[in-house]
Formats: sequence, C-alpha cells, structure tokens
Amino acid sequence: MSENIVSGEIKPLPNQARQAALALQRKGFQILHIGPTISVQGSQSLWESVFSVSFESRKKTVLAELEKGEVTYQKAMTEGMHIPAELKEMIEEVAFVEPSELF
Amino acid sequence: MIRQAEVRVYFEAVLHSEMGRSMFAPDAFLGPENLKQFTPASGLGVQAATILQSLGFKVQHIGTFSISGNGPRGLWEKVFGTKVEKRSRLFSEAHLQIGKISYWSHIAGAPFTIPDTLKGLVERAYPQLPPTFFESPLPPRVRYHHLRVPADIAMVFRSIPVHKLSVTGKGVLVAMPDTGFYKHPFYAWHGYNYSATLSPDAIRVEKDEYGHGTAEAANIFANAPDIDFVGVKMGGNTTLAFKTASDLYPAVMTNSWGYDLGGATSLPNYLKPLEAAVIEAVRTRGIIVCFSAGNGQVSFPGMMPDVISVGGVYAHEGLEGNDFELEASDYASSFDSLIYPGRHVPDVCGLVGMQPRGIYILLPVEPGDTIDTGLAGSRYPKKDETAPDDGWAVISGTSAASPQVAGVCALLKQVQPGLSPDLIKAILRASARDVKKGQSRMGQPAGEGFDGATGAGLVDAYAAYKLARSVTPRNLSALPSPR
Repeated sequence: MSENIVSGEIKPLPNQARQAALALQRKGFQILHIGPTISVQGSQSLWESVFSVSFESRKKTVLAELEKGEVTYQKAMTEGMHIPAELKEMIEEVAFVEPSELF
Repeated sequence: MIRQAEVRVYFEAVLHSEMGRSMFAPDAFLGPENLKQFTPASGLGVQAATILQSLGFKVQHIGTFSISGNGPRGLWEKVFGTKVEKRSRLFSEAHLQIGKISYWSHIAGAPFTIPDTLKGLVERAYPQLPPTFFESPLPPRVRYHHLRVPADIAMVFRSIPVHKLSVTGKGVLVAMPDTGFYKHPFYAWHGYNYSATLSPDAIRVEKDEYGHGTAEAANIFANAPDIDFVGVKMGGNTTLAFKTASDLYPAVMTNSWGYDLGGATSLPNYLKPLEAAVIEAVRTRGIIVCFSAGNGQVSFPGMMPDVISVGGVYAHEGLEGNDFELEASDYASSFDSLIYPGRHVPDVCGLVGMQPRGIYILLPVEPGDTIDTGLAGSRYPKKDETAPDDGWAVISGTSAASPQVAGVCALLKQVQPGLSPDLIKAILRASARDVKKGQSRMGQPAGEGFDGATGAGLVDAYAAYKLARSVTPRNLSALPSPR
C-alpha cells in the first residue's frame, strides 16, 4: 500500500527561503514552490521523523449536500512538533494544509 | 463494457407506402413537401405490428413510416432468412473509460427475405446501430425558473451594453484555481479561450472529478466573453494552486472555495501561508482577487480585506420597476469578520439561487461527475431535473457569483488597465444596484443602501463601466498642487 503524501507550507526566516528549501530537499521533501512560504510535500513517515508530528485520518465535506462530496485527509497533530536544530536557523513555522470547501 | 444491446436485435421495419413509392428508390428524396408519397395506408402499421408480435418480436413503437421493435438474434435470422454478426463500438469518443457497447449488425452480402406473412406490409427491415453519445454544447430544458449562460447572466448583470461597446475582456488574463477544467464542447462552440494548467501537485489537467471548476468558469465568460482564461487544477494543497495561479500574473483571479472559520477570532496557523499568498497577489502584484463569500460558511479568504468578497442576490423572473425583482439570496453568506476588524462580507453580489440547494444556473460539467450525478433527477428544488450523465447541472452558490463578478472586473481592466484592486472594488461598490429585500443565510436583512445581506448590492456592469472609463488613476507624488 502506498504511503500517504502530506502537503505543508513552510515559513522561512527572512532571507533564508532558498537555504531552507535546499535543506528540506536534502531531507527528502519535494519542493513545489518557493514564495512567501515554501510549498512542500513528503510522505507521512518523513514528516513524522523530521518534525516529530503525528497524523490522524479525518473526513471533511468539501461539496455540501452531495454524495461523494467528502474527502479523507491526514490531519496533523502538532502538539509534540518541533523544528530540528539544523533547520531552526532557516525555518520560522510549519503549517499543514487542509482541504478547502467548494462554495 | 456495456452489454445492454448484446442479446437482441433492435430493428426498424419500414412499411409499404399507399402510393407504391419507396423511400429506398434511388431517385427518392424525403422532404416536407413529398412526405405523403411515402405514407402507408391507414391501419397497415397495426396490422404489421400484430404479425411481428405473433412471430415473437417485441414491438416498441408503431410510427407513421416504420415499426420499432426487437427480438432475439435467432428469431431475427430465422424470420428474415439472414445472418447478423456481433460488433462493438465506443460508447463515447470523449469518454473512453465508459467502454464499448455491443450490438448485432447485418452481414454485408448476406441474404435477406421478407417472409410471406409480412409481404405487402413491410418493405424492408434493418437492425439499428447504437448511437455515439456526445454531450451537447446546448443545455437541456428544465421547467422551473433558472438562468442560462451566457445570455441570462450577461443580461441581468447589464454587461451586454458594455459588450456592444467592444469591451469584452479582450487581452485580459483571468486565472481560476479549482477542481479541474474539462473540455466541455460548450466552451469550444462559444469560441472561448478556455485553457487549463496543473498545480504542481495535481494530475490529469482536463479531468474534473467534481465538475466544479468546469461549471463555474462559464460564469466568467458570460460577462467577459473575450478574456484569456486559465484554470489551475488543484491538487491536495490549495495554497499551492493559488500561488501557481498568482505566478502567472493574471489581471484578475477568481476563487470559488475557502475555509469555514465560524467562531474563530484569530486565523489558524495552517492558513497563514494562504493569507500571505493572497496579500502578495493583491498588494505586491496588483492582481484583482475575487473570493466567494460562502454558502453559510464564515469564509476565509473571502473575509480578507484585500479581496473582493462576493455574496449572492437572487433575480426573480419578473421585473420590478426598471430592474428585475431582486432579493438577497438566503443561500449565500454574510457576516462581520471576527478576525479582520471592521470587515463586513460581502462587498458586492453576483447571482445565486435560493435554499435548499441554490439550484439556479444551468452550467456545463464533466458528464457523470460528482455534481452531474449528485443533483440529477426529480424534482426541483431538491434535484435539478437533468440527467446524471448529460454534462449539465443547475447549480449556483457564491461559487458562481465570484466568477461572474471577476468577469466584470476583466471588463474594467480592459477599459483601464491601470486600475488598482482597491479602485476596482470601490467602483463596483459605488455602481452596484441596491437590493432592498430578503435576507442572507445568516439572517442578516437586505435594506436601503449598504446592508448586511448584500453589501452594496448586485454588480451592474454597465454602471461600473461608465465610472471606470472616467476614473484617472494618479500617482500621489505626481499630483499637481491644489489651486
């Protein structure tokens, strides 16, 4: 069974975006976009090992009142999360993306 | 593979005409003026159908010129002394995944004889081939009050007079992150420049599993038919899709999605990257960003002060004075943000249906997708009374309203490319039509002037155009000193 891929948005410290992206890439994350935040994705186990975060499977209705309008996603449990020492000088914050609703 | 026609031969048996003329004669042509020449004698159809039935065929319809029926392959071959062979063809060239349909077809050169019992009654009989299905560029008819694209939306928005002045959005790029952008023939037949690209974490650009993006994009073209449109198909990361669209530096972005932050007094951390991306798009790149206000949700980023927040107004079928009878949609959101002080949602409104499901605007979707199947069936107002696989659905919500207003923004950008996002918002608000009755999903009432349910009211494209053409964007440092 293939592992869940989890998306995240990483806020770099000022002027550290490219260094942060490189460091994340070296750890195994896929860098998708570098802007005000860095869009990355990685396997659930990679997130767990690098940032000590855990995940729970959740459901969310993205298209109200319709059958099949529900998606399952991995909700990040960030209570025990920490940024590893080697990334602390480059990364300010890590945010996990949740599915949006369609209006 | 579809097997519905596999075991039976479906046929049309053509009746002898009373005048002895055959529609199969080499010199025969059928037209309204000579149709009578090919008409059978009264009662001939029933007589032939009775015999076909007695032979074991199932008669489904007795028409003026032919009888429709079907029967087992063996019966067909025995009665008509012929041979058929099994063939198959794609159900739809556009939807290979649906598979093939099987049918029995006459073998070329095989004998075929009308039996004595049918002689004088049936002239010829042919197995019928299944049709190839195409979703139509024309929408189906439904019996309740609804709006059609592009004409009805353009008319109610008063964008038609603007189009007649050659202001159609030409040269203006509009981007839309959404669920996918299926190549529905509606877009090609209207000659729209409708293109799509992928967010880096998305796949299959022309597949729209939900149908949402395919449908809502039609609303933009209704008001701005000559825009250059690019849809950005979302993957798992909505923020990334937004940034991908923003990186194209479109003049206008429209977003029919968001997050429900009901009860929240501060922005959750996971949404801060999206907030930063929206601010960058509007404040750094000068992109006009429209967001849906929500359908009962306390929507983010629809509540951001930087965006044009679009709510809903319902236009009844009848007129009231010199305008349509307008009412706040009880399907659309309105609220005061607890996160951005002083921010009321919506700024202005587009056209949205009423509860229970906002069924209002007939829009193209990918045949058989979530919306097409989910709303299909009878009866209104709970279902849209279209087929589950016809590629059309009657929907709305503020998902429709945001792209409608984005279309008007594109018109204004064609008139004055230098208009800033704030100035466009100010123009839309200043020129909107006041909506004085009804209430929003949250119960806020509409009333005279700026109100809770509809903000400034329904956007008026022509009034906005007249304001925009006269506005002169000025650089403060270059202003002449006052006299």
